[in-house]
Amino acid sequence: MRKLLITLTLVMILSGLVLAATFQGLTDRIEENRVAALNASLAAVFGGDADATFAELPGSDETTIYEGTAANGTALGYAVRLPAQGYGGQITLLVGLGPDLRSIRGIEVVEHIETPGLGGRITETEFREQFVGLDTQIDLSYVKNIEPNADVNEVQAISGATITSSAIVTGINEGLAQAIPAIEGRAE
Amino acid sequence: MAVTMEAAPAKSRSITAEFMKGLVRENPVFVQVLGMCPTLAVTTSVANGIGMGLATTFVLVFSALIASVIKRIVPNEVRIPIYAVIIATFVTIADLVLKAYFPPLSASLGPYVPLIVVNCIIMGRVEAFATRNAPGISVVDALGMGAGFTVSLMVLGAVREILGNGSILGFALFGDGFTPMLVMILPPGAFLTLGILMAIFNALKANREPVLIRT
Amino acid sequence: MSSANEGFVLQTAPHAHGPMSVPRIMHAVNLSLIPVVVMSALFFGARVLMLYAVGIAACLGTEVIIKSIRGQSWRSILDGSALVTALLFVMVLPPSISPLLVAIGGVVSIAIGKEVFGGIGQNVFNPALVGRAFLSAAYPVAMTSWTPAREVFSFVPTGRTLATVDSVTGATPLAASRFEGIAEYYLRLFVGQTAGSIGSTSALVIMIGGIALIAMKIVRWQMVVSFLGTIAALTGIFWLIDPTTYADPLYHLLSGGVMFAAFYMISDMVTTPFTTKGTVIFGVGAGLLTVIIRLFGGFPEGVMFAILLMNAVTPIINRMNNRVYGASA
Repeated sequence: MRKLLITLTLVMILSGLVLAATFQGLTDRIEENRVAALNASLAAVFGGDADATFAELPGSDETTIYEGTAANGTALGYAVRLPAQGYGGQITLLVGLGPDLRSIRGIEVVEHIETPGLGGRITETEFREQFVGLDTQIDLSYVKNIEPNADVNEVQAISGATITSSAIVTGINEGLAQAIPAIEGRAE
Repeated sequence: MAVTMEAAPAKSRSITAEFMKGLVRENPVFVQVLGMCPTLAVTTSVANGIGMGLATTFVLVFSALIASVIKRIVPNEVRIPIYAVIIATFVTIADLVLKAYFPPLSASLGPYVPLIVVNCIIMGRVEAFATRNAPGISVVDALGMGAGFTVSLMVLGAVREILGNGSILGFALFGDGFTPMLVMILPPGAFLTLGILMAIFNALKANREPVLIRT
Repeated sequence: MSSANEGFVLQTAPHAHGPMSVPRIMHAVNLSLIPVVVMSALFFGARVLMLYAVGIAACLGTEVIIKSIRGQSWRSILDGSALVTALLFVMVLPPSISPLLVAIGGVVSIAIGKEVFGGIGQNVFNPALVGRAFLSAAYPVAMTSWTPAREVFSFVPTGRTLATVDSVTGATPLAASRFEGIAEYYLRLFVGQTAGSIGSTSALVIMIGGIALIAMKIVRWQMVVSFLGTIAALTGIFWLIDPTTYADPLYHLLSGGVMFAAFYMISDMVTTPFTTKGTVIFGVGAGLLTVIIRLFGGFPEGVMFAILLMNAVTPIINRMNNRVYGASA
């Protein structure tokens, strides 16, 4: 019985020590990777300014808000990280807004598990570009098989992936409805 | 399980034979049908297959080594918990290393790296081989099984990536005229590919073994 | 198997043979499909004849190759069942599909849908639908691109081309009636001068062959009626509750693949129950699933998945309804 306890304890302690050492050695690098990945997608939302810096602001329940500043100190605007309920599961989006919060600067898909080749095409530039310049004061909507009218915030749905396209549009509408008042409230 | 695990000490067999059995005769995927969860889930590309295969091999080799070295001092009653702790330790190390040095691979393998801890190949080899054999030959066995697992995952990943995405290791193979067979990188494609490869594997094996009854 | 000079002849079941043999049934089904082939060529052009040829070549070729790999006689293709699979498979594809995809799907139908289980009589799932399901998952865009039918019958108004259930969710007759009269729209659906799968648009032609099969007792009317009846009843309830959101029962019966499935897919003898009570359970289940998928699912058309799902439970239905001879009670 004593041998049993001693061996088990010894193995646990050794394992704990090894893991603690590994974690200690790698944790900085892992954190750097995480921040680099986040900054890369944040920068991409604002047209790929690699030297821009981003500060996290207090967001709402479901959204996280980042304030972007260009390398020369001018305000880039805000990026809102928001969820959307896709066909395969949750989609995480970053939506970039201008400093006046009136228009969308760009969107990035951070995470998704949509079907490759169908819903997965939301990551393609062609789909994402449609959102650039859209008005944040009107709700977005999507159309199928006809030319979208950007003046009334229409985007073209992905062929064969209506549920995913609809999820993105709804997610952005709901996320911005929470985030914009939160940003405005903070400025006052 | 279709294959009886190695029970007796394998002193008589050569190191080469011990390594090679993991590749073909006792291939963990196609013959023993172990580790199906990562086999089906991550083989959407060759790169994923190699990454998962190597991570599993790493855990397998070190767990087998340690288990074999300490086999005489481990009391039988706590054998399984101790091996579980050892395996979990190496899985966590593998997960951290992947996160630190290969973040894209780590992201695409997702939860399946931590899940190596429940991969039956590892517990199977540790229990069935490493605890009954010397450290040296246990490592050879683990390397063979790991290689067999990695090669199987690569083959699955290659078939699925070529057909389902029209590329191999990320390089496009065909022109614009090729429409990828989407289903192959979706879950049904994993089952179809595995089933067909297993059928081919069995057919090849059957041809090499003497046929007793022909119906 | 048996040696006559022993005095006793041992034979395995079945002992009673009906007048209909498998090849006879299969050839009858093939003959009944001729009107559908002709009609589809009229509606979608001579190109579909080439697609039929590709499908037949792929299915028969696959069966010959697999039989020879297994050391069995290739003559099984003469029983007509692979030809039935080929025709049914091509008939449920969109007219604009490329011949390459027809060939791939044909190979999958026979190889994975039928031969891996051991050939005719052994398969769990309808082979033609296995092929179609594979193509739907593999090439979703090609499998949902529809072309309108040509104007073959001038008495049937072409109207503004409105897609059927197959192509666009929510193109209800109510929407259609804004462009043409409801009666004309239904006439068009009934004759089949509309967008849809190659062989499944025309309820009229399908019924000609289908009723002949019922008369020959190859297709059981109970099954057809229970399937169509379930769809009509369920969609009818929803239509009565909210006619602006839900289409009426007639539309659901005539659009998509319902009529074709009723006579040619759910009547497959291998993959459906063998008692009459079992076929009714199958028909009701398939109808229920079809309506659920159509009205609440992510796909506009649910017939294919409904039938494949019911194929999967067919062994259970058979167990529930099968009398074991000699067993008590």
